[in-house]
Amino acid sequence: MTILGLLGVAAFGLVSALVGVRLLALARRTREAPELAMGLAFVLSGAIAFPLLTAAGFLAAADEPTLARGAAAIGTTSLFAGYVGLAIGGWRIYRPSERWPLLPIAAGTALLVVASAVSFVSTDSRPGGLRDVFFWTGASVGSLTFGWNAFESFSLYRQLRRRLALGLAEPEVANRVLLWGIGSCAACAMTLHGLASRLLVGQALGDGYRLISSGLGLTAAIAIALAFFPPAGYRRRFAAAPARDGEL
Amino acid sequence: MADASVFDFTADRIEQSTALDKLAARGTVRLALKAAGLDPGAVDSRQMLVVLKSVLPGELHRRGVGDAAEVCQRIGEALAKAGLSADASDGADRAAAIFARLGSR
Repeated sequence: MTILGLLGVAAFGLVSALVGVRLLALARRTREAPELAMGLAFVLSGAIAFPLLTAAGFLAAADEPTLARGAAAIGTTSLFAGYVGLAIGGWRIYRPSERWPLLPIAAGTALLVVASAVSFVSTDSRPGGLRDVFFWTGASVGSLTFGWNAFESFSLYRQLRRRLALGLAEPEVANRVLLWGIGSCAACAMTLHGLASRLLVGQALGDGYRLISSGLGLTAAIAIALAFFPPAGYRRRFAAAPARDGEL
Repeated sequence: MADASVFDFTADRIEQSTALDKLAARGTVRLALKAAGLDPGAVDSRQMLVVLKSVLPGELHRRGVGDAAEVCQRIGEALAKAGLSADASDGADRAAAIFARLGSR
């Protein structure tokens, strides 16, 4: 049951790492900000943070507190840096000509910097201690960031769906926007579920809680993989869709 | 701004070709664009031509314009000849273009 509970979260980490590397390769070719920011977000959280935070748990269980703290601090900082990349990516994708997103992004970044610093400086690893409180404060910022991306994606999808009916949008792109909305929503829910579980139940989470978290992680992983790393078979579904003539 | 003039052009022509007053003509075009998921401030000629073909005839018909399809056909031909072009795509187009790139191989 424990393995099943970890499966979704591990899948989310793995998919994030793969998608991140792919987006960074794309950014190298295009030199565009959205793929760079999103690529860094996925790599930092998937390829670096998840393995380190998982390792920190094992190290703590193996009675290696110093190593566990170090791994947790680097993993936490990497995870939080990924959130900043996600926020910048969202801004550059959905509202590049607007300046207001800079204010919440700057405020969130400041909070994440403080939370990261605490993870390095504090030795208070007790449940509900300083490190725990700041970790979940940072995770809440991440959850809000995913939530914002989900909201913007669903709004954009609603608009594109109307255009789709008139042949003014690409079906594959509209589907990608929807998938990213679903993936962001699931990632947001996964973090909120983790936070709520900690607050309501404490450290000793039952299998049911782990399964919910795993299900959300798996949902996010599948949606993100299909959105940014779609297999050829999935893409063919859209190639067969009839194109509408936009001219009178 | 070229984007805005596509909307103005269409609304003005509807006002001239039908019994609708300025406010009603502009409101009708706005509703048609909303139904199509388009922004009046950023719609370009190509998009408006599709709206004129697929959405506006129904909207005008609902407001008592009898020869709605014919009116839209004429406005569409005039719009195509006017050569108005958008000098920038709207936010949804820009975001969609980014998503197209993010999933490309």
